[in-house]
Parts: sequence; C-alpha cells; structure tokens
Amino acid sequence: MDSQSSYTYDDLPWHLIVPALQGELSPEESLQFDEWLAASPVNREKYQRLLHVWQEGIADYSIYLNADESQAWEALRGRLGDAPVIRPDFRQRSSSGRRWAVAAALLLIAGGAAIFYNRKEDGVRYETASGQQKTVALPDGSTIILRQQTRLRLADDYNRNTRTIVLLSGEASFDVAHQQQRPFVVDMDAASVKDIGTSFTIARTADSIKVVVASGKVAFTKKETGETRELGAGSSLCLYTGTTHHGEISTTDSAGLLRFDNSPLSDVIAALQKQFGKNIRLGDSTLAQKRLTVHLDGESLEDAIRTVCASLHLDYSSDETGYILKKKDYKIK
Amino acid sequence: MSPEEDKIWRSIQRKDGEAFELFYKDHYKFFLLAACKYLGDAPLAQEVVNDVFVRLWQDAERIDIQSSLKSYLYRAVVNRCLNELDKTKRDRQHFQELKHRPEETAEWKEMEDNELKLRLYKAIDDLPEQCRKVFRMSRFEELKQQEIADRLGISIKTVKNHITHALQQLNRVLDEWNTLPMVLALVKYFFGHH
Repeated sequence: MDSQSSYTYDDLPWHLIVPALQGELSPEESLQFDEWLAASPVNREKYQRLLHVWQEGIADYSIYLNADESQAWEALRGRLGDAPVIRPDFRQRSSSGRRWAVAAALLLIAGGAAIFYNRKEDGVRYETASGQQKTVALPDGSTIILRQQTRLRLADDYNRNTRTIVLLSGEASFDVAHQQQRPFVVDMDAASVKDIGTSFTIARTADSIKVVVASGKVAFTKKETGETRELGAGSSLCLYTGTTHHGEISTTDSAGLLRFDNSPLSDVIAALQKQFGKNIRLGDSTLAQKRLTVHLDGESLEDAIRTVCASLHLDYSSDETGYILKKKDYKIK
Repeated sequence: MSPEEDKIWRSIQRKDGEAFELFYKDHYKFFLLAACKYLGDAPLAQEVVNDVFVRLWQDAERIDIQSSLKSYLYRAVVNRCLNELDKTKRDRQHFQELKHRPEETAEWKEMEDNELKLRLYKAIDDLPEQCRKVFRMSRFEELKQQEIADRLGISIKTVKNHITHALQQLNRVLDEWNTLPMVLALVKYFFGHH
C-alpha cells in the first residue's frame, strides 16, 4: 500500500482531494485545489460526488457493519411458526450443529411449546418458563411433565447405559417405564431418587426437595449420609437442603397427597383423576389456570369436587363418564 | 420481474424455505439500510424488515406482484416504516419530513441510492485490512492523518496512501454506477410497471 502507484490510478489529483475531504489542505494546496476545481465543471462534479459520499453517502456504515443477516434470519425463522421452512436437502447441507440447536429452539418456541432445547456435550436440557408446562416423551417410553419454571437435563447417553436425569430446579412428574437393567434415576446433588417402576413428582427448590409418589415405589437416597428410604404409592418425603433444618427429612403417608398450595386447577384435577381413576373435565379450558389452595386428604371424590367448586365459585355435574366442572350459571341456580 | 427474480418468487410461493432463506440473506442489508433511513434505529428496522418477510412468506400464494419482487418489498418496508413512525411519533420533526410516502420517481431514486450505498459499503469491506482500518479511523472516528499514523505506528505517507486507495475504490464504484444506464433503465422499467 505504500507505493506511489495508487496515485496514478486515474487523472484526479488525489493528493489534493484527500486533504480537501478531510479539511486538511494547507494554504498552498488550497490554492492549487481551487484552480483544479475552476478548471472544469467535470472536476467540480467529480469532487461534489465524492464529497457527498464522504459526508453523507456512507454515514450509516456502522449499521451495515453490525448488520448480521444470519442472526436476523434466525429471528425471522422463529416467527414463521410451523411453516415448512426446512427442506430435507437443506438439512443435509447444513454443517453447523449449533445452528441447528438454535433453529430447533426457535421453532419449538414458535410452535407454542414452552421448552428450551439445547444440545451440549453434557446432554439435552429442557426448561419451562413461568406459567408454562411441558410433557417430554423419552426414548425409553417414560414421560416427564415439567411444571412451570423447571429446568432439567438428560445425559447424552440416556437410555444406553443409564437413565439419569438431573433435576436442576423446579418441579417435574415422572412416569417411568421400568427397566430392571437400567434403573431410572433422578439426581439432585443432595439426593437422588431411583424408581422401582412408578410415577412420581419431585419439586426442587433452593432449600428443599420434595418427592411425591403416585404409584409404584421409589428409593430415595440422601447422598450426605447414604441413608436410603423406600417410598410407596401415596407417600411423600421432603428433604430440607437449606441452612435451617438442614438434612432433616419429613415424610407423609398416603394421606397428604391431595394438598395444594396456590396450584392451578389443572394440577388439582390431574391429582384427583389419578387418585380416584375417574374422568374429570372442564367446561371451559380457561378454568385450568385458576389457582387454589386446598387440602383434600381423606375426602371422597364427590366431596373433593364440591370443595374445589366452592373455593373457585364453580358448578359441577356428573354423568357416566365422570365429572364436568364449569362456571356458575346463575340463571339456573 | 426479471426471469431470475421470477424464479425465486415462484420458489417462495411453493414454500421453498431454502430459496426464501437465500433471498432474505442476500437482501437483508439492503432492506435494513432502507428501513434505518426512515427509523434511525437498527433493532426496530430489523423488526420491520422481518415483519415484511414474515408476511411475504405467509401470504406468498395470495400476493400478486406486478413490479419486481425487490421493489414490492421495498415499498412494503417503507410503508411499514411510515406506520411505525405514525405509531410511535418518535421524532416529530423527522416524522413530518417523512410522513408522506415518496412519489414514485422519488421512491425509485431512494431505492437506487440505497443500492449504491450498499455497493460502496461492499467496496469498503473489500479493502485490505490495514487500509480499511485507516479509512474507518479517518472517516468514522474523524481522526487527523497524523493521529492515525501515531496510533498505528505507521508513517503519515502510508496513512495518506491508504485513504487515497480507499477513496479511489469508492470513486470506481461511483464511476461504474454511472455507466450502468442499461441496468438502471431496466430497474426503472420494472419499477414503473405496476
């Protein structure tokens, strides 16, 4: 670049034009430059054109520089919903795994699923946001329901040698397809839960781990001491992991399952259905998000439904298929 | 519509995601700069451009494009920008200046200016690294030649040469642009027939 050759690219007096554009002309150069401009309208036009480019024509170069069409495309793709943007041949051409992870995440979000999917060396992560719930079907036939604000991770080799899931935070219900050779283990740093053919729910907070077993049996292990307890259907256990009551365990047997604290009606109904084996429906799907705090331990199904309806100002009816909950109809009552 | 554009447009109408992606990525900066001119806000401009492309994708079968695809999208982006300005009234004076959609000829001129600008930026991108650095320091950081020389530890003569080379490249783009009457006539032709 240090050669003089660039000066001879064309007949323009670049040694004057450059300092003129930058306002760095010496008095002597200034005179020469004025002479050159005055010599021909073509000169003036050429300089004006360059001056315009220099001053205005390239003013938003930083926007161009920072524009990232790939990032913009990913943002766009997230908004295209379930449109068939991905063609099979496109998939083969794409060499970047990371790009696919991002795309998958965007597509899943666009599809309404409240799930975050991110494949890293340490496995697959699932995450739900506030107010969202997601069911994950695992390759071994087991199912996980992530309640809101839950994060968990599956080992990359899940279902090969082991079936380990790390519950990082939040609450999840597990319906496990039992395999004698490959136990299903939920790991939570302070404790682990090993299924013995069952469905159960674990809620992990900063200072507690609560396990509720709906059916079958699980083995709960407190890692600090190696202490293991078996929990049967209908029982629950809480291990305190915070500073107060650290390491203490409380358990509840069969009763204590149907206790809800500010839970969505959908959870209450799911628990009642599981407990009583009856179908309970909602007349209006918006009711599912209504929240209630209620203890239904030891109540009959009819009594439990009556209690739920009373606390949410609902009506219910029953037929041979089960119960239907709906908004109160004041005209009939 | 040129045969090439027509082919792309048909692919998009057939929901060919790959063709859509390629077209989008090829033209993203063009439309982003156009939207930025109206909105002066890059993230908002991106949103506007993406809005337009989402609609293009979703409604492709129902959209009937008489002019060129590019000018159809340009018009859609401008309209969307004007709506945005209307909605936010973020800069009243700016808004006053721009609230009327440009006349057809002015719109064509705007698009042309935008295209030229893109070519200038591509020419800057193509400069040798050190040359580009010097040019950017001179134009965008408004540093004097001596300051650039001091910062980079090079001679003032080298700084001058770099800036000269950069400006010559830009001038070459301008020269080429002005000797493209046929291309421009075609653009005008496609743009003018709605």
